[in-house]
Formats: sequence, C-alpha cells, structure tokens
Amino acid sequence: MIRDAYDVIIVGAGPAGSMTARYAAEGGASVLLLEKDRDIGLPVRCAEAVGAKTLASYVELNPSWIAHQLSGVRFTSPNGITFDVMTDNLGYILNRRIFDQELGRKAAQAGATVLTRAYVCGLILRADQVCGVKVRFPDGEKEIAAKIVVGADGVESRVGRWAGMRTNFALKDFESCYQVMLGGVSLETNCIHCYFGHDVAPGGYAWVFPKGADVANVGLGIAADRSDGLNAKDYLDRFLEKNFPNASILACVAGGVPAAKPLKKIHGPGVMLVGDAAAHTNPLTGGGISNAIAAGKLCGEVAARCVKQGGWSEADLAVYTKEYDANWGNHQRNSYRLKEAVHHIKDETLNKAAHILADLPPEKRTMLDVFTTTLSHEPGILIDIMRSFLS
Amino acid sequence: MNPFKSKSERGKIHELRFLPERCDYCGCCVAVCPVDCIELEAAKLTVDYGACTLCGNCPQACPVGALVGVAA
Ligand SMILES: Cc1cc2nc3c(=O)[nH]c(=O)nc-3n(C[C@H](O)[C@H](O)[C@H](O)COP(=O)(O)OP(=O)(O)OC[C@H]3O[C@@H](n4cnc5c(N)ncnc54)[C@H](O)[C@@H]3O)c2cc1C
Ligand code: SF4
Ligand code: SF4
Repeated sequence: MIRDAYDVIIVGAGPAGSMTARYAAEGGASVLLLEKDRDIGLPVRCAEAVGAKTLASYVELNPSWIAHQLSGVRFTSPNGITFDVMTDNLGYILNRRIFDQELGRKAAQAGATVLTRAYVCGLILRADQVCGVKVRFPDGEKEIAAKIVVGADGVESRVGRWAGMRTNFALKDFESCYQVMLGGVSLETNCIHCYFGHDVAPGGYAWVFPKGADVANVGLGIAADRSDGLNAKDYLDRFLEKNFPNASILACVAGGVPAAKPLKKIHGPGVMLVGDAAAHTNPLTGGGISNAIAAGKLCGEVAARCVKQGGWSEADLAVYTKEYDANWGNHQRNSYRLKEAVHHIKDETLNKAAHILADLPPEKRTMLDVFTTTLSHEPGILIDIMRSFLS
Repeated sequence: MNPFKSKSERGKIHELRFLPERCDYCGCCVAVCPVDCIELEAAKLTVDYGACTLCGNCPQACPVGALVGVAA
C-alpha cells in the first residue's frame, strides 16, 4: 500500500497537516500524510473556539462538527468584575475530534494517502537537502523518499530541528496549559469567558468555553517562565475549586501553545513547517486553528507548485516564508507586542479598567462605545486585548 | 503536591526525574528543550539523559509535574 517515494510527505495530521495534504494533492502532487496517534482528532488538546469569518473562508461549514455558536466574549478582571462584549456571529466551539477527522477525509478525497500509527522518527538528509523520512510503524521501520517534507507535527515539532532549524521555544514565549471538560455545569451565556489575573493564570488567562447547555471546556495557560513552583494543573485545580466546586470532569488534557513572534524562516532545503510547528498561533489569545488552516492551504499550494516546476531547493521554497509573512506576519507581530504588554500590566490596572467598562450600560457595549470609553480613561490597551479576542 | 518542585527550578537543576504515571504525552517538554534530547512517540516518552544539559526548561513547561528538577 505504501510506496517507496512520494512528491510530498506531511508529518502530523492536525488541521495544518490535513489542509496541506489536501491542497498539495489537489495541485497534482503525490502525497503521504503520516500521523503517530492511532486516531486523527484524538486526543483533543484544544478549547475548540474559532472565529466564524476565517473558518468560513477556508472550509465548508458542517453542522456535524459545530458544537455551539458564540455571540460574545465575557471578561473577568482579577478582582472579579465581569463585563460582556457582544458581537453577532462571532464564532463557534467546534467538536475537534470530528472536525480534524473531516479535514483528514478531505485530504484523502483529494488523493492523499493517509496513515495513522506512523511515527516519523527522523529525516533522510543528503548534503543538507531533506530527501525523505524515517517512519516507525508498529511492525518496523521504513525509509520513504520525498521531494518535499512538511513538518505539521504540532507544538512538539522536531522536523525543523532535524533539518537544522532552531524551532524550540523560549519559556517566556510558551504557554503551558491544562484543561478539563466539565459536565453538569449551568452556563447561561453564549459567551466565551476569559479570566485574567496573576493569581488565576500568571502570564496567560483562564477560559470557560461553553460547548452546550451544561458542558464546557474549562482550562488555563500560564507563561512557562512564571510557574513559580506551581504548574498549570495546580492553577486549574485552584480555579475549579473556586468556580465549579461541584462539577464533574468528563475529560482532562495537558497541552502547550506557542506564544511567539513569527519565525524568520519556515522553510529550508526540501522542507517546510506549518501550524504550531511553525509557531503559527496568535501569541495573545493562543488561538491556532484558523492560522493552521490558512497556512496549511498556502503550504500545500506552494508544495504542489514547486513539484510541478521541478524545484524544491531552499531558494525555491522561500516563497512560502515570504507569502506567510506578507499575509499574516504583521498581525502576529502586533499580537506578540500586545502579549508582552499584557503580561506586564498590573492586576490593579486591569481592575480599574474593568470597573470603568462595567459601568457602561449593556446596550452601549458595542466595540465603538467601549473604545471611546476606554480612550477617555486609560488604559487603552484593554481595547486591543478585546479586539484580539473578537477577531 | 510535588516533593521535588521548588523555586530554584528556574534555571539550572541538579538532576532531572521523569514520573511516567503523571505524563499526558502533551509534548510541552519537547517544545522547550534546547538540545532536543526528548523523544515523544504516541504514548512513550524517552529522555536522553546523556545529552540533557540540566537546563531546567522542561520542568518549568510541564503542565502536570511529570518532569521534575531536583534543585542543586
Ligand atoms: C489547551 C489548549 C487549548 C487550545 N484552545 C484553542 C482554541 O480554543 N482555539 C484555537 O484556535 N486554538 C486553540 N489551541 C491551539 C490549537 O489547538 C493548535 O494551534 C492547533 O491544534 C494546531 O494545529 P496543528 O495542525 O498545527 O497541530 P496539531 O493539531 O497539534 O497536530 C499535530 C499532529 O502531529 C502529530 N505528530 C507530532 N509528531 C509527529 C511525528 N513525529 N510523527 C507523526 N505524527 C506526529 C501529532 O500527533 C498531532 O496529531 C489550544 C491549544 C491547547 C493546548
Ligand atoms: S510536558 Fe510533561 S506531561 Fe507533557 S509530555 Fe512532557 S513530561 Fe509528559
Ligand atoms: S532539563 Fe533542559 S536539556 Fe534536559 S531534557 Fe529538560 S529541557 Fe532538555
């Protein structure tokens, strides 16, 4: 079933890898998509929130993977002041197990060969050119040649490092997360709910994302350099004790999110990186689904084009880094600057701003009203934070 | 609570210990290891202790305290 050589081999079947596979195959390349886990879509290391606009422009919406519709964001300040900002058709909570599987299926439909329980344990290198992968299957190892290898291997990516790129994250640019799926909770809102504060989640935030009438993804991320003897799970235990003392835990999961500037290079000789592997996440919100999908499409298209034109040297693939940066680079750099600012903001400042906003009558809490209100006070930064969460 | 954890973990450590029963195979440790000496197959984690520089990054990043640094 598996051949000895493909045009494009993609490591990792998350959203980034499956989109890359689909568009490389649609562009005419022979494609192999390898996933180390036994199921695409499991485990779900994600709070599953995604903005409506980006999603709709990259995939056909399908009710089978939309768990819940969102119409706003609720912010809670360190001292517990809460206010909502509502927007129509803000986004969705996905059912990522089904969503990821659907993207994998779309790649297969486009002609890619998809395989699970296939752990890529190294690259085949000739001089410095990447020429294929070493794969560990349950029944033994095999080398498979490729013109282009795509590292879509998520936050734990090693493909870039095997190819000589430095893609490990600095502690301050990495969010260490723990999440539970709670059952038996009563949620009266269609808002995603974000809690800030040094004691809640230092260098990050806690989230309660409703997945249905009585189910929610509840988790938090802390900047890895701020853990001070407590890890993400310790902080979440504390948060649950305070906010949901009687809820049931239906699932729990650990995970990490890059919160970094765009990498200078997401390509090398015969190799490209995409999704979390390429730090394609919003450094402030930690959102990475839409970025993974968007960059995956670009990556797949570039791969197919280069195969067709017969060149996959470092110079040939440079167009990928260039196009990513042109489309999303500035947005990521801005979010990074905001993240840096937010991480240094004092709890008292956030409390003060929340107090001002909470006094606005609900019907005046459109982005514009909130904007003018915060501008006439300070800190205006709160506005930028909210904008990030609402985009 | 974690008997090995302490503030002095920020920075160099004296010894690295892996507690497999706590591990969720999430890959945070791999993501922050500067010398790429952690291997994570689907549900199997291996540290190459010979290559580890005891930099202390992975105990900081691990969300559940499965990698712990013993302070010097
Ligand atoms: C707790 C948490 C909450 C989050 N919440 C949100 C949210 O609400 N909204 C949002 O937009 N984003 C969220 N994110 C981020 C989002 O989950 C990621 O950005 C997204 O999954 C990235 O997709 P990807 O395809 O790049 O990587 P992944 O989805 O991680 O896929 C990578 C795949 O590669 C496989 N793999 C790795 N190494 C190998 C190997 N050597 N061989 C074969 N296969 C390999 C892995 O098994 C995995 O399936 C969250 C992340 C975490 C941790
Ligand atoms: S970070 Fe911790 S839980 Fe995650 S894989 Fe490493 S040791 Fe296991
Ligand atoms: S202590 Fe540092 S070098 Fe050693 S495994 Fe952890 S991150 Fe890698």
